Amino acid sequence: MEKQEKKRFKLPFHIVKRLDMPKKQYWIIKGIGFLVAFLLAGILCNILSPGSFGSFYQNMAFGVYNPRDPKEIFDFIETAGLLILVAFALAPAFKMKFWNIGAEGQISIACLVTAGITYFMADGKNDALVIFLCLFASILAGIIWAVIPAIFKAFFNTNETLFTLMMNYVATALISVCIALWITNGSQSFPYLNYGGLPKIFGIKYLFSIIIIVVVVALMIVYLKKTKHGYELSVVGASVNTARYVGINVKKVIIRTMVLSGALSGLVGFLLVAGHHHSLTATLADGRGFTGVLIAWLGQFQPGQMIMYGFLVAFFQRGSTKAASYAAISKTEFSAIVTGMFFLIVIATEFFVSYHFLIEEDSKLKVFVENVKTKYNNFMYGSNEVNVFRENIIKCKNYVKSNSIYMDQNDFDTYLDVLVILKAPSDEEVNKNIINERKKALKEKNLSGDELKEAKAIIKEMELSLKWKNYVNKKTKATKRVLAKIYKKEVARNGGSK
Amino acid sequence: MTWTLFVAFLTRAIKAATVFIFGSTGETITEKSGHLNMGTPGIMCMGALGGILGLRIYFDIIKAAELNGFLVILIPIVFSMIFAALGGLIFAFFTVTLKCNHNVTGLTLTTFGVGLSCYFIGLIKTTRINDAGLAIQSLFDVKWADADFFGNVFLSHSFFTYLAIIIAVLAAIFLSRTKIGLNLRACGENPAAADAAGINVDRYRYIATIIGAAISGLGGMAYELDVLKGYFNAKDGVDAFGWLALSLVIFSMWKPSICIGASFVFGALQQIRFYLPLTSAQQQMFMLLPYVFTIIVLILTSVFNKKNTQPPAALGVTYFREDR
Repeated sequence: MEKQEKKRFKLPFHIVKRLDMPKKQYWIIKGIGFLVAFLLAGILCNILSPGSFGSFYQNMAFGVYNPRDPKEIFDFIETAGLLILVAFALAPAFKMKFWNIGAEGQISIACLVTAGITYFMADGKNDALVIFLCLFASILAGIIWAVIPAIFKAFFNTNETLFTLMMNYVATALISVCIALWITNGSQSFPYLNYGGLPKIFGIKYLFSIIIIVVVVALMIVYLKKTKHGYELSVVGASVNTARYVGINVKKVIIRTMVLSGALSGLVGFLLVAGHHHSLTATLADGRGFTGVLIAWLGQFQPGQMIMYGFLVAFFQRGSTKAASYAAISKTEFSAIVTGMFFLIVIATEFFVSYHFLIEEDSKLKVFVENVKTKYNNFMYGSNEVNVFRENIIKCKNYVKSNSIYMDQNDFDTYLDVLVILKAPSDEEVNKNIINERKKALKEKNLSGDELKEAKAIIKEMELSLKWKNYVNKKTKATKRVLAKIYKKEVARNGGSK
Repeated sequence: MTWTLFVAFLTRAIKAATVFIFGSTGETITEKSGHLNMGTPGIMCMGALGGILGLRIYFDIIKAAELNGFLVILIPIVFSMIFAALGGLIFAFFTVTLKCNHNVTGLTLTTFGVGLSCYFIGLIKTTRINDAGLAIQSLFDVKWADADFFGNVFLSHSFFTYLAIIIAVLAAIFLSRTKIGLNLRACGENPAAADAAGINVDRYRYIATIIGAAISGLGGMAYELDVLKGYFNAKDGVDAFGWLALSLVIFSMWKPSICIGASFVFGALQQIRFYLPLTSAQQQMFMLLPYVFTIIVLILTSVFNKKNTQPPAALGVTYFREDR
């Protein structure tokens, strides 16, 4: 067994999970990620279309606010709002670790239902009725599409990731089937729906959608943060067994949450058709379901963060589309590349947030010895002694391993320190009084030149050795404590036999 | 359907199945190691880009006057494997080393890969690549009569089709009959136990993901050069094949041996609409069937809950040693 261990390639460092990270540091890491993505997008644009770097960032900003058409800012808010709504639809399911990646399908099927009802019923006189009917039906459709995998997950433990993924394509294919069935005049494309769309408010196209999104998102924040349901989700997510012991009906929670998830996705589908496209194609959802998954996950299911990521992604999508059209490169592909790159970089920052590097113990010892050497220059160790310490440390490690005693990093550090220090020579004679006396004598004697230097050096040496002694004392106490702890644990483990 | 039409249909179905066999065999190897690589559509697109780019380089730099039959097959294979392996390397780096969520990384890689390769495929000219596409259509240079069932169905395909079947068979043997295959499956079923038994889980997962991606990438290349005969453009929709390959893995219950037959079923479902007098709605209906079948298989396997038809137990779970 040990031979195998030795053969393995070992990294010089060690990856350790971080328990908690200060908020400031967290946002610095994330901010660096955003900036890198932003810069790389510009560089990429310059590579694909040389000379476009200069105006790239200005063009990107036009995706948010265009001075020539100030109303476009509502387009931006609507794009972001829809993404945020999808993320909010998915967050409750993700919170209970139900990997619902079927938002795309739930949106698509709701689009299909909305477009179908509007196509067959709307005649310009019954808009209000049609809109309410569409709203109701699309939400119902979204729920049905989400609940089917949920039921199978709850009762048969069917893999929900794969199931919801497949449901997406069933929905998109169904749209193609329905378009082919309904449009019989041979054009094979769905006509523009003149009636049954959401009305404009103050002459602004998407304001109605935006208001609905804001209201629903606000309600969802309350639901996730303030209600018992929201709490139950977190419990199921943390541990199904715990939830069961506490008396939570896990099956009920799974199905209930997916109903909610589907309903919100259905609402997105309704807003897409009735509020935006007023038509139907198989790719109407346009990857929003998948982007929503990414936003929800990166936002850690926290409302504030999900909203922030929604706006950021919308900025990158719309901005890169605008910049690509100014630089005369293919719009949709460039937007996909930039958005993909943004996500990859932000996902990578996630690693630095939740893990950090520790130098492997062996090299850590070297660093430690170096530190000791520089700090207490007067107690230079010969290489021979370092080897002795290393042996001691290995002995200590083996002892800990063979007895499978749990030591956390701090305990182990203390142990290392002491093993090194106990070996160090310590001058029993040195104490504060002697040093003070020497100093006084130095002042009275009025020495000069080399003698003064010599005397000062001696005092310095004594001061250092005093420090060393104190350090050793401190560390010895700490080790005693650690050893006592280990001893106690041993006793507890052996049932008090020792 | 007449006999000749039926033979033609079967031939086309096998050609389409080639793409699926490559895609899902690669993905099966990856998933057996416990990694759910949802970046497969993106990786297949990158493979397609690699194959085309390789041929373009071959024609533009070497300026070969005559098509060398051997190089025309070898170059796309090598290039598409390298490109797709790069995609797999990105996925493995994010999920193994950086321990990111598989679904999130996969979906991002799909967005990124599809965008990137569609962009560059749109820039590459098809001249002479379609000559190469026509040249590689059949490995055995024999003109079979239209009604010759055996000759057409079994012996009229390109090298890629035979390569796909060989790879799938080898993968099946590798996974079920070799020790390394057993170790690989252990990584997918219970990484902690595998680690305790002295298996280097991270290394296995890295290699499985990269090799799996390289094989999947061949699928994209085979689609562009073999099925489309080199007449490619940016909107070919290779990614649709990627999603179908993902569902095929479920449909074949994570077994490359079943995958060969299942790929043929998927290929037949995809091609049958060109050989039957169907309305456009019925044609679209056939596009729907593979997904519905997959869902049915997924449900049945979970309801009957037999041990050897289940997804790998640790599928989609990042393994961090110190979480034990």
